[in-house]
Amino acid sequence: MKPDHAGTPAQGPALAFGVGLKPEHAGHARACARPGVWFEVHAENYFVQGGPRLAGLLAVRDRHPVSLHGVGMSLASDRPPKPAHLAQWRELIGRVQPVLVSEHLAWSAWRGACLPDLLPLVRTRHSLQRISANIGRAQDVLGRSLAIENPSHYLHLEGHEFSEMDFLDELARRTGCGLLVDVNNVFVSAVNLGLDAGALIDAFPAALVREVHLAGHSADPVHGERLLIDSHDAPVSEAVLALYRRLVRRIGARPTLIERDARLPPFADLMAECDRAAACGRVGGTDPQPSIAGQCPNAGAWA
Amino acid sequence: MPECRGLGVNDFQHEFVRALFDPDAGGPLAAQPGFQVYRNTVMAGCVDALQANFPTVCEFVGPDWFRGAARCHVQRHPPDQPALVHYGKDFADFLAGFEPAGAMPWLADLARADRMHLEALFSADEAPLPASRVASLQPDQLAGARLRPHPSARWAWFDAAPIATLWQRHHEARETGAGPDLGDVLWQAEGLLLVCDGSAVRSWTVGRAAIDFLSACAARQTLAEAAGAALALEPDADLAPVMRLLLQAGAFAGLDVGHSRLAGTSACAAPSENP
Repeated sequence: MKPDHAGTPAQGPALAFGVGLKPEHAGHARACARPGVWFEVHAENYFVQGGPRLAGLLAVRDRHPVSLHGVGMSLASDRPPKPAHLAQWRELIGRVQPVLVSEHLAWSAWRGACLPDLLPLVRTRHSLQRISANIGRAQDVLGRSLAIENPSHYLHLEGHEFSEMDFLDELARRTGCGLLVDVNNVFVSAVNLGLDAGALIDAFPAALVREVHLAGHSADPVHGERLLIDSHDAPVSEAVLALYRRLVRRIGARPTLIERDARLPPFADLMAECDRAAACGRVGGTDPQPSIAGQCPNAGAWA
Repeated sequence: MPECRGLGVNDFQHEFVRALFDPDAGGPLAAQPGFQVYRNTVMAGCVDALQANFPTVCEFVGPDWFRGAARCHVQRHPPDQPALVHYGKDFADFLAGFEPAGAMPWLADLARADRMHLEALFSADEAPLPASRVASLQPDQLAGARLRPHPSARWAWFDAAPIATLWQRHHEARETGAGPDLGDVLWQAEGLLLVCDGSAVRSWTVGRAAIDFLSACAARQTLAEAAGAALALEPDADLAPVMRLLLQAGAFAGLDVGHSRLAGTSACAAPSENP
């Protein structure tokens, strides 16, 4: 079950702060000279045979590291990932040679229909077995180890036999996958489910975390601040940055991505968001730099 | 608290999907405020994708009408693959049978034009066949040669409305940010040809002969057969300018002269430039 994914490029350039790449920003991204900058795209948006959008991504890839982030593998389905879907993934990985490959602990496919969302699961021994098999299958076909992201939660579900962290930890142990910590999702989930966000963020094992996502959220139009939505349409909130600060002080620097999918601001604003996040690793309290240098292979990116 | 304990994965996911698409669904999942977030996200994701993939239709009918129609379409034809850049292959047919669109019988064809554009935009890259390759054919090779359309070439004949002109005016206006000027559009049948040149999709309004010629080439007919097909409905058409336009448009990617196949990039004898 636990494969040896020698294809994972660990020797790539040091990644510092990246942004989600939108086709509108491809020119700016290509010209960007920020040290350690990298870009991430939703893989499915590039499941195409050719054309200018793919060419734009490859042009960015010629200058900067690119990460592929999936939203449609539906790893928590009761069936294996579709072979055709994995074949498209594999082809794109071959074209892009991404530095990181990631997906979600969620499902989005049901009997031939694809539901564009990250739907929740009940964490049982049975689902652990099934999702482990699905991750293993995907990693085998892709020839790459996945970083699995914690999604946002909106529902109280009964029947969980694991905490989310124990579940992710066990998935990693069984499949060799790593983790992608979405700090905004932790915050949104904590508010929506009445959990302690700090305790949740403290539970991510440092050794498994390969990437961090930061994004903005919004309050539900009906229920207000009691129900937060992972909307990716606003700057990262101060509360989420505080959680991020807490994370990097504990585990050290990790490649960190600013995600923005709606109300797209100018490219320079996203770079400013990177600056805000970078400051979290520097200001106040003890300086994390020495410990980062000792622990993290990408520490140079923070210097 | 919902009683998910004891439910198999299938049951849980089945219940979840049923409640997603049934606004009146009760039960422990749908009763929670957060369930509406999933309903909204799933529907908005599908509708946003249709709006992005059918921009001309949306401009014609307005976003409110469009999104209402799109929601109906999503209920009947949810996406069948996670790559939503390809979503909407049934949307034109849906609009053709969509009762509130009855006063706009041309709307489905406009959706077909948007769909053609999407397909052209994401098709495989290949160098176009230079016009000189055709010009270099020996007279005895000409009739039996076969032209292979470019992977991005999409073409269609629209009987009921000037879809090509309407679509082009909207497309150009979108590029420039101005409103489309439709004042002088003649209400007539037209053909639309789209080809992606690697950086953008180019469009041409073409006649019936060009459309039928391309279709015959796509069906692997010889140049002689394709010429016959092109003249079947338009016997007076002059095929020389038709050929010139199609070659200049980059509508072909390969040329097969019987035993040897000359691709657009193949090296062959220096031809004359004038077809």
